[in-house]
This record gives sequence, structure tokens and C-alpha cells, in this order.
Amino acid sequence: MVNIFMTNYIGKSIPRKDAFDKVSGAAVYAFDIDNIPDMLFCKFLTSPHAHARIVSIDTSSAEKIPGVAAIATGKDWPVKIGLYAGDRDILAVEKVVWIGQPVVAVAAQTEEIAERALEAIEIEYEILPAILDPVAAKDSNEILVHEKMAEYGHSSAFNPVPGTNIANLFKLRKGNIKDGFSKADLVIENTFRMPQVAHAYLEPIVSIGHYCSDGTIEVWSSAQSPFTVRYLLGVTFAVPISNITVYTPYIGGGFGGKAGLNFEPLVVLLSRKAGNRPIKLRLTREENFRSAPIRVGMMAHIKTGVTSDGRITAEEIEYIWDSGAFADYAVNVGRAAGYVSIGPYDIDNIKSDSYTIYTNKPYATAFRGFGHMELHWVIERQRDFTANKIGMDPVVFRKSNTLKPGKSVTANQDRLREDAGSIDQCLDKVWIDLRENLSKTSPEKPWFFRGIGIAGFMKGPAQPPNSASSAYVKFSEDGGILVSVGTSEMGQGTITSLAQIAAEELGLPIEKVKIMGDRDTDRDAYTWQTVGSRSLFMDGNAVRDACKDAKGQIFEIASQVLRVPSEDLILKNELIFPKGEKWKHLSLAELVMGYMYPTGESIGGPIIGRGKYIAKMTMLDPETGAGKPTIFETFGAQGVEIKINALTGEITIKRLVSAFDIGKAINPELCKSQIIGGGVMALSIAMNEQLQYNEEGNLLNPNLVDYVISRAADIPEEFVSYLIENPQEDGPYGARGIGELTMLGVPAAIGNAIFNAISVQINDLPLSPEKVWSEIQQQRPELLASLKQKIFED
Amino acid sequence: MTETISYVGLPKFEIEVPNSLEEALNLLHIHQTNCKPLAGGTDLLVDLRHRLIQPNVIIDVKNIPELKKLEFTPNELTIGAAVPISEVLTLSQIKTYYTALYQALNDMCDEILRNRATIGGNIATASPAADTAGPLYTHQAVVEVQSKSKGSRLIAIDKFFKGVKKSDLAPDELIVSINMPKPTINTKSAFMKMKRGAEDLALVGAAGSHNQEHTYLGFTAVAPTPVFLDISNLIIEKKISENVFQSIWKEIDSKISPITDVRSSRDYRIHITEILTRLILKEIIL
Repeated sequence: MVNIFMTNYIGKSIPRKDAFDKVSGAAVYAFDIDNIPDMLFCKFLTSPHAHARIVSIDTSSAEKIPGVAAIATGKDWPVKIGLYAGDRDILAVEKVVWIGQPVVAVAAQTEEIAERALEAIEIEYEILPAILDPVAAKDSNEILVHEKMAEYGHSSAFNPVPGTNIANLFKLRKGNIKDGFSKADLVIENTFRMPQVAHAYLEPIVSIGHYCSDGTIEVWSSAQSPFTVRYLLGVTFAVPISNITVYTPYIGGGFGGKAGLNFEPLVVLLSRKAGNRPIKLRLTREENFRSAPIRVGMMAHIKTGVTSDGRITAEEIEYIWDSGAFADYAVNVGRAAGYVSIGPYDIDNIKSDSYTIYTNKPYATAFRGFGHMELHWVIERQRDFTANKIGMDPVVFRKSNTLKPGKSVTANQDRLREDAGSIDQCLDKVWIDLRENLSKTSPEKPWFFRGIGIAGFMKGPAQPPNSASSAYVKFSEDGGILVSVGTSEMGQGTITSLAQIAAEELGLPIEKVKIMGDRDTDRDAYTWQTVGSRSLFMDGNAVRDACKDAKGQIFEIASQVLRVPSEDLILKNELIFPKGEKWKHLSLAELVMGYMYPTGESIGGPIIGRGKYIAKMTMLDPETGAGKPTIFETFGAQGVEIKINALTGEITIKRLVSAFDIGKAINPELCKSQIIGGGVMALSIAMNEQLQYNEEGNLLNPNLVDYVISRAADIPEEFVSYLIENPQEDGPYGARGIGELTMLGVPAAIGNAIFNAISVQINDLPLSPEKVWSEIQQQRPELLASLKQKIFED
Repeated sequence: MTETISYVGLPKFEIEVPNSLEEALNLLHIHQTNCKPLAGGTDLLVDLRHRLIQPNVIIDVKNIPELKKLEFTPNELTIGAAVPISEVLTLSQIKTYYTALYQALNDMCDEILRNRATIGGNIATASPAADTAGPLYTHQAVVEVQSKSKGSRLIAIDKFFKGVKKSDLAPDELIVSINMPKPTINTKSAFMKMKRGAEDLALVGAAGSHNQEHTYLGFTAVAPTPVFLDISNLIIEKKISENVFQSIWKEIDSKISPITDVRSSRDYRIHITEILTRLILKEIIL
């Protein structure tokens, strides 16, 4: 299928389609939409308690404030909503389950009036004991976040346990775990943790809802997945889905935090109550921290059996995912991490239980990496521990155990395809680079130490087996096209790559390919969601399919005009001609609206190409996890060279080296931007980020002063990126997804580099200066004492 | 107390923009505790939005000539209270003669905020973590304040801070300038700050200066107010050894009382104070 003409746009670093709008400030975001007639503004009052029964709500004084149009409480629409489990109130109905949960919402002429109304509302609570620690919550039968769990509906892919705080239990089984450990020469056990973190996207959440008087619903929202918002609004309000339109302008970063349904039902509900006037809600940064969803926290206990020559015989793991108050995407995080569990390795005997647990904290959702950054923090630290114990090179040890084509994670899970890509090549690229370029000079002070560390990983899109994408291409009179897809542009650059695919397929200059940066569920082709690094693969295949469909229609007409069979025709540079006879050409412009013969007789008609793609996966067995969980896996490895100041615990990242087997880089510069962006985000999470709560469950750092994210001056000196291209035969031009992969190895690589530098093992993130210092203090007090003395000697 | 309402905008207030010091002092005299001066606003606006303060009147002091003065004479350096930090950094003598202050200013908040933030504002807020407090002490700064009722008075920097967010300023007093004597030849000074990332508030700030006669140390974020120590009598033979350090540390340790908060634990703050003190002493003495 590869031919010599297919080189115009694939593999070329075309400038981003959305760059000018974003750099010039012309790009429109949900925040900018202010011109809807009669629009009101929403503010909500939140729970001050982590767990409490609502005794009474008195809104009578607030209702009398001039400019207040409507006040809503949970009782106005007490249906349970949710993505995979119906466990969430739009506004708290009977009880509140975390500090920051919306309880009462006001619609008013201005936000200031709405704030005054909130001040006038009285809520009486009966405080209940709260449970904040997911490990305690897992075993608690007394404090239940959802005592009515048995009544909730949920997707059949999940296994909640009513009467407990277990929102989902995913089991992975292979071989016989006891036999596996009996074959081991050495068994290594460890516990690893990662705290909840915030997405900290640049654009706080904005939603506008309009429940129109004719019963239709319009929503403008900073949402990643407009079709999912549309679907769930239909379920929530029992409205036919075609009567709902969701518009999503450009999104100022989402990273999974805007992937599901968030505040859209709230503004639609208020709109209905406020006489069908549109309602706008824009969160402050503090509200976004307290009331919008966050990333899961994780605790894992792992036990690995290994032979002295480096073969892993068994691995047993328990993952506990802190989901906060609602299941949302967190049940699928636990499931996706559960079916991968052991990372990119081939182990004969596996037992893994992955628990998603409710606690009285903000609810957790999708976040770039979706459980895989966490699980590779566990697995890749454990691999280095193990290699070190048996005295093997960490990469040689890994490669003795990596997943190869024909092998699978569970006993009867679909086996890895021949064209799946290579984890070994990724590991080699990174390890060779790190070692060859290791700083040759010794550090400038005796208390500085250098170290290198590596981590391998894999991830495929976590999506339901029937996840689908579609696309259409519509021609203009001059032969140019509009490409419509359902996937959103939130910074990844996907729309540019999709335009490149269309230009390539149809032989068009890229300037004649228009692809919109905003989404409109009425106008645009359907896609399931913009998540999981699935868009280039799924929507890319759909775009290709749509272009092929259009091309077929074009050739059908050209074949009649040129009296040549369709299969002998070529489309290149906007011309259609028989192979080898370029001079006998028709132009696209002559054909795409219908061809007119010199006599005036015409054939054909305006061309619209239609394309689709549907995932090829299966449901997973609830007892063993067996089945086909993903459409592809992308393999990668990342490594760092670090410098540690052992006196203060500060870590400086000198180089971040990454290699990904992405099959084909459609746009190499965009891939590299993803690698830098994801790399910096992962460094920030690995080294500093942590949502901190007090004993009552109150978030102590709900702003960007106290919650530290990486800033410009934190970016490492050097990024090295290797794009390995073993093509995936069913991917568009061989491509696999990369967006989330760019984060997965960073925390473990740093953890491994710390051990390499100073022989200190750290199992809990973040690797903040204080954490590094306290571990040095515990594990190597003599080192600290001697270095202090050296300050005056040096 | 948990904030259950997060306000979008600022509370209502009148804004006054005086063009002279006299006009400003009059306004302060009239409004007393009901007003707040605005210089860079980097703290004020945050406090207003969170309703931590709700003054009726805000007095913008950025148009007052006396507060915009930036001058280095043979005897001293004068920095007007409303001069933005990025402008202070343009004066080349800062780096040469007032190294500790230069290092603090050059690392304060971030590059964008430095176009707004002022030294006057940094000390007027009287935050325990005020980055400039330590360097100002080690450079023996004197703060000139004025009011209609009391006229002009000078406050030595070590008498300025009275508690968490409490200073020696009366409600009607305005900081006019910060003044530092020109240091003698061979004076060396340094500032170091521990942060969680490249741009952050201090977990601990430490400053020191040393010459033939005096050795001063100043610390921030380790007690309710900045901590200042004159350790001149402990520096024997102009050298620093482990023994000398231990006697200095004993003094420091008795004066600091760091807290545990979201940025750091108390233990880590104490450890970092010790490390920064060692590094600074080595820098300025050895």
C-alpha cells in the first residue's frame, strides 16, 4: 500500500493549524462567550464538611435579593449522574461527601449579586464521621461514602461492592502464583505511593447551559468530549439526544480533567429553573481546585519473585486507587491500570487486585497517563530494586523479561501483534544515550551527586470495546475541503495531523484543507471522546476512510469522463489522470461539484466523503481480566541525568531522554512538543505536586501559590527525543498514539537516578527536596553529617 | 475556617491617586484604618479578593515623586518605597555594594511580577517570609516613614517588624523610602533562599554580611517576624570553623521557631536554616 507519491505531508513538520489564533489571542474559549441574549451568571455554595447530612437549607432571604433569578438545590433534580456509575448528585441531595461539593446554586444578573445571595443562604448540617485514607476506607464497613451503592446503576465493565467503599475491583490472573514464587531465588516486596494531584490546566472550567423553551438544550463548555457531554445530558434530563447541542470552543488544556461530564448539568438545571434563560458558570482557580475533579491517589503493595539469573517468575500486586467522593473515570483508571498491572513484561504467574476506593475527598477523574504513570512508578522502581539486588544491569534485567510479539499479559488475553512495536529498542536508545553523554566532569561541590535512571512503559487507549470515530470531508468549488471530526483540539496538535492525513490522501495542498478548532455536535462528525491518546489512531483512520470514500466517488466520475477504469487513476496535486499519462488530466475543481461535458450535460454532483473506525477489542473476564483490552500499545522508555544537592535534597534535571515506538511520526515537531510538554508536566508532578489536606479533609493548597507547578525556570536544560517507527499496520500510515506516553516513565526514572546517585531508595512521590532530605536523613545520616563538615573545608 | 464562597472580583472601594506626598498623607490621616496604600498590589489584590481585608479606600502611591526616588550617593543608597523591583535592579551599584539585596531581588517572585512588586510593599506587608528583610538588615537599612500627625521618622529595619503581618507603622503612616549606608570596602554579603521550585515563596531565606567590624545575619520564614542577629562578637580571627559555627548556631537556634505548613515541615526549615547559614558564612567570611 505504500507508494512513492505518499510523501507530501506524512512525516513533515507542518505548522500547527491553530497556532496563529492562539498566539495572537484571536482563539475563542468558553470564557469569551458573553454575547448570548438574557444570559445570567451562576455561583454555587459548597460544603464546608467532608461528610455530613443536610438537615435544612434556607434560601428565603437570598431569594429576595434584587437580581437573583433562581436558586437551585439538590432536590430540584435529584437524579444520580455519572460516567460509569450513577453515584453523583448535581447538587448534594441528602448528604455532602467532600469539602467543596456544590450544595446550592444561584443564578443572578451578575456574579456579584450571586455572591451576595450565597452569603444570605443558611445551611444546617449534621456532621458525620469522614473517611479520608483509601487504605482504611477499603476495609471500613462503618463509614460508608455511598451507603446506597446497591441502588446505583453502573456499566457492566465494573464490579462495585455494595456495603463497602469499593467502587470497583479489577482482577488479573495468570498461571499459578504459588508455583511462581516457589521457583524464585529471591522475593522482593515494596510499598509505593503517589498522592492526588491537580490538572492545573491554564483555563479554569467554564460552562454555559440553556434549557430552551422548546425543550431543546444548548451547552457551551470547556469540555474535551462534547459527544459524551451530549449523551449524558440526554440521560440526565430525559431529553432526546438529537435535541441537545454541545459547543466546545478551543480548550485551554484539559489533560483528562475536562474529559467527562462536570458542571454542564448544573447550568442546564438552573437555566430551566430561571425561566429558560442561559446560565454561565466560570470557576475561579480556588473553586476549580476544590470543586472540580482531580487525579487519583495511589498506594500499591508489590511482591516480585525472581531467579538469580534475572527471570521474573511471579508478581503479586494490590493497587488501591483513591477515587474521592465519586467513581467518575477513577473506576476505569483502576481497571486500565489493573489489566496492565505489571508493565511491559512477560511474566508467567500474575495475581493483581486493583481496587478503586471511595473517600471523602474531591472526586478523581481521568488525567494524562490514566493510572499508567502511577503503575510504572511502582513497576519500574521495583525493576531497579530487583536488578540491584541480583546485581544485574537494569536494562539487561528488563530486557530478559520484556513483552515480545506473540506473548500476552494474561494466559488467554489476545497476544501481542507482530507489528506492535518494540520496548527493547526504546530501552536501548535511552540507555545508550544516557551513558554515552554522562557528564564527564565531577560535580562542582562535594555535596553534589550525579545519577542516571531509566524506566520503560507501555500504554494503549482505555476505552470501551465499541468506542468509535467518524469523519467527513466536504468539497468546495475550488477542490478544497472541510474536514469534520469529533475529536477536540486542546493543545495536542491532533487537528494539524488529521489535516495532513487528509491532504496526503486527496493530493491537496495543506492550505486547502480546513479543519475547525472548535466542536459543534450538530455540525461535526461523531467521536466517542478525546481521551487516551486515541484520536490520531481512531479519528485518523476515520479521516483516511472518509478521504478514500471521497476519492472513490471522484474516480467513479473521472473514470467515465476519461474512459479509464477507476483502479488505473491517480490523484495528485489536485489532478486526476491515468497512470503514466499525466497530460490526460482533469482537475479536482472540474469534478467535485459534478462534471459538465462541453455540451452542458453533467454527471456526478457535490462530493461528501464519509469515514468511520471502530475499536477492535473485547470485554474482559471479571475473574481473570482475560480478553483484548486495547486497540494498540505504544511502547516507550525515558531516562534522566540528575544532579542532587545532598545537603538540601534539591534535584536538578540535566537531561530528559525519551524514546517512543510511535510507528510513524505524522508530524515530528508536534511529537517533540508533546514530549517536552508531557515531560515538564511529569517532572512537576514527580518532584513537587501534591494536594494536601488537613485532618478534616480540607484542602490546604487550593491555589497556584501554595500548589506549586513547574514554571519556565524549572524546565530542564536538555531534552532528547527519539521517535522509533516500527509501523502499526492498522494505524494511519503506521502511527500509534503518543500524547500521554510522554509522562509515564519520568517519575520512576528520577527515583532510579536518585538511587544511582546516592544509594537512597524513595518509594513515595513527590520527590520534593524535603522528601529527598528526609530519606537521606533516615537512610544515610552519616552522609549528611560528613557533608555538612565539608562546607567549611571545601 | 473553610472558605465556602470563592469571590470572582474585588470588594467595592474608592480609589484615590494622589500626586504628592502631602496629598497622600492627608488621605491617610482622614481614612486611617479604613484605607490601604497600593504600590505593586501583589499582596493587596490577593487579600482583597479573598476578603481578608475590606478597606473603604485604596490609595495608589505610584504617582508620588518622593516614593519613586532611586539614588546612589557617596554616602548612601535611597530606594523609594514604590520603585518596582525590576527598576531597582537596573542600578548597577546594587550588585556591587549590596550583593545580598541584589540576590534577593533578582530571585523574588517571578520576572513578570518584579515589574510590579516593590520593596516598600514587601516590608509593609510584614510577612514573616519577606525576602528583602534579611538583606536590608545585613545592609543596615533604615526606613523613612511619614505621617501628617508625626511628620517624618526613621525606623531601623530591626525595629520595623512587630509580628505576623504587623509592623511598626501607624495606620496613617506611609513608607517613603528605604535607605542603606554605603558599605565599607571589603564588605561581603550574600543571600540564599530555599524554595520548592524555581519560582516560589521562601521556605527559608538567609542573608549575611561581613566586614572588619561587623557580621550580621538575617533570616526569614523561620519565626513570626524576620530574625536578625549581630554576631560580630562571635567571629574571632576573621575565620570560621566548626566550633565557631556551633556557637553561632546556638544563638540562631534559640531565636528561630519555624512552623510546619504546606510549604515545609518545621524540621526541614531548621535543617535548611543551618545549611544556608553554613553556606553564607563560608561565602562572606572565608
